Amino acid sequence: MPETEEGILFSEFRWAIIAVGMVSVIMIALIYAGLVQHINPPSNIETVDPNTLHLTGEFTEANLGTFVEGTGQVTTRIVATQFTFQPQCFVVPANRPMTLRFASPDVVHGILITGTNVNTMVVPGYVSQVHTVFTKTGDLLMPCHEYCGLGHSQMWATVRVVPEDEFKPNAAGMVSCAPG
Amino acid sequence: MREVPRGALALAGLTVGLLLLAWFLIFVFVFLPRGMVG
Repeated sequence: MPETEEGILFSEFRWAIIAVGMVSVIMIALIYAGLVQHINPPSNIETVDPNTLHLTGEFTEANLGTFVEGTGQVTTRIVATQFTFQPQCFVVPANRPMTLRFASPDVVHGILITGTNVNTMVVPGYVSQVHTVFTKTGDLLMPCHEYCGLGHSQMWATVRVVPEDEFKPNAAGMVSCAPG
Repeated sequence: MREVPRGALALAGLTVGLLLLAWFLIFVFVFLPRGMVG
């Protein structure tokens, strides 16, 4: 055991190497996740007026849910409000890049989708946007994960991931959970 | 601090090692398979 000054310094140095090594390994793992696996924190700064959210613009009722746009881009728009999501169920295609867009007219909400890395806050005044690819089909749970009031625990939605051949938009380009 | 039992170093190394191992297991088997997001 280190009894001399040099011995103590060596011991300290050895632990410093281990600590720096561990942090370096974790940093490399995170850079790998970001650059190779494309797993990054969603970052989108885009403002929207929460007072007129339901009246004009992108988040009016007719625009909510999943749409296939002219370019083939799949976009789902959801309003998170006390204490529900609109729509409460939405369909997304499996194995196809798509975009989720969220807005809130009232208080801060948060969402995650079970079994995926989709996880974001929904702050009034901003549009939260997440790009992702769902790989497994089935119904996933999307609860509110930021306490938003007394009904918070009742606030959740269903994400229906369907195979590509069952993902059929209607004439307006919309895909919904409703049968037919 | 001049006299430190060897077992204390072993225990510290083992616990820190297990913590790093647990982090890696979750990273590889839970985080990465959950897929791309951004």
